[in-house]
Order: sequence, then structure tokens, then C-alpha cells
Amino acid sequence: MKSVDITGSSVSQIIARYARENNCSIDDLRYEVIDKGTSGFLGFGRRPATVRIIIEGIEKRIRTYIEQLMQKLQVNCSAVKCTIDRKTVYVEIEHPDDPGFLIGKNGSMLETLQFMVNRVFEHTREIERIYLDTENYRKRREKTYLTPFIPLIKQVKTSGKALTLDPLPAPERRIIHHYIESDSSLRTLTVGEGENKRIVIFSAKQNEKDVIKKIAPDTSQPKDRLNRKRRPGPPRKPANKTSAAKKKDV
Amino acid sequence: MKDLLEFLVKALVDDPSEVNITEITGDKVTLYELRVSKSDIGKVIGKRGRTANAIRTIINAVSTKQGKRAEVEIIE
Repeated sequence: MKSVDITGSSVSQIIARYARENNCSIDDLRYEVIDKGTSGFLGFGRRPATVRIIIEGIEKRIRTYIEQLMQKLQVNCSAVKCTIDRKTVYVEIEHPDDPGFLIGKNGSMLETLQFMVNRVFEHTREIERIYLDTENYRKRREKTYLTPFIPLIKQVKTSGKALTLDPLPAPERRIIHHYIESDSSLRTLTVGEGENKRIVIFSAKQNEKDVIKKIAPDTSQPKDRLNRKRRPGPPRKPANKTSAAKKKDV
Repeated sequence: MKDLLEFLVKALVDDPSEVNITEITGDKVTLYELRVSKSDIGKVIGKRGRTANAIRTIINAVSTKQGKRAEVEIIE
């Protein structure tokens, strides 16, 4: 538990200032008064006050924030569990009385709340990301998301050939990376830039550099094919029109 | 509701004392006018309005649960 000593003209003034500077309410602060200080008599014998403020661990801070948030959302839950894995925090809201509201349509509410919590703790150096989950919703969803990929992943295992997946958005890539991490015989890496980031799954026996070299020529080609696949509507129509117009001209 | 909005916004901004919310009750919709200090406006709106949208989503969801309608407006 870390702490800081702050000196100021009075105890209440120090606490109020600290609370204001650190975005927290006075009731949430834990502190010890080291020296009450005196204003002295006619300026004689004046002594500043010193307060030791105990800085709570990030886990506790996230937990109190989420507990307050739940209370304000009028959702009762039995407990808020926090687990920290390196710089990622997993928060589990246990047994909410209204899980449907908390999760929202397709998990939209959970996603929004997670976004807000991440914004609040954005500038904290100890952590990088916070994930919210309730009633194992996220885990269940990850499982259903992974099912179409499992045969593909098995194929890599049996054939030993590296497999390049289609470009996926970051949260979906994370699910796959996370899943492969649990399998010691396989490894993943990411190729491409921006919207075209793709996951490559390969056997742990292979060298990462060799894999990149092997797939480098193919990645440039399917990229175009995929771009076309992703937006079938608008780009095709004008193409057809112009070709039709050209035919007429001829 | 006002309490929830205040809680969400105060956690985001650098200067919580400048957060000011006025509640205007209409027949159907309750409008919340949100004022923050000039330097904090960006934080409340976020990249491409993502934070502002997140705040609105939460407020909308909670008010629907209570059978009301609410709107949040950020005033510069």
C-alpha cells in the first residue's frame, strides 16, 4: 500500500484539495492525520498540518467505481470481482438482478459500460485495458465466435502449414490470439496494416521469420480480392454501368 | 438520473467542480443540458463523439427501464 504525505494549512483543506485533484469524493479517501497543525496565536507558533493519504491499489479503485456505477444504474449485484493479469483487468459482476439490462442487445450495454470504465482509467499507468463481464456472457460469446475457426485451427495442427485468416477487427483478433495462446503447439502473429490486419496461425516448431517470408507474397494478392468481397454493393454497380455504357458506345 | 449523469461525467473530466447539469422536464422527454469547463469538452465528447454516444446510450437505457425518455445535450 503506497501513501503520500501532504502538508498544508489545515487537515480539511488538504483533504479537500487532494480529493479535487484526484477526481474522487472525500468519503472514499483513506488518510491518517500525522500533525493537526495549529494556526498559532497572532501568527506565533504556527505549525502546518500534515496528512498521510493512503493511495489505494488500482484494483480497489476500479472495484469501487464499478460498485458505485451499478448502484447508480439501479442494478443490484452480489459482488464485483477483479482479477489482474499483467496489465489487463478482468472485472466480473456477479449475480446482477437484471442481467438482461446490464448486457443489453447483443452485449451493447456491457460494451458501452466497458468503454466508459476504460475512459475513466485511461491515464492510469498500471493498467492497459479493463474487460467487463457478467454471468459469463463474454466467455459464452467468445466460445460461439470461435466454433467456426476450430476446424481451421485443427488443420494447421495436422498439416503443419501456416494459415492466414481474413482481416478481422481488433477485438475479434484478440479472441483468436487468446485461444491459441492456451495451445502450446501453435503460435500466432499479425500481418498487415490498419484495416487489413490478419492473423497467421502456425506451428510452434516453425520460425516466425520463415513464416512471414512464406506468406508475404500471398498476402498482397488476396488483399485486393478481399477488399472487393467486403464491399460488393457500391463498387460493382458503377463498374457494370460503365462497362454497359462502353458497350453502347461501341 | 441526474445523479448518474453527474457520476459518469465527473469521473471523466479533470475539473469536476465545473460540471453543471440542468434538467429540463418536458411532457415526453427530459432534457439534460451538460456544461463542463472548456478544456474538458473534448473528454466528454471523445474521439468521433464516442464518449458522448456512450453516455447517451447509458442514459437512454436507464430511462427506458424507468419508462421515461431522456436526452443529453452537451453545451459549449
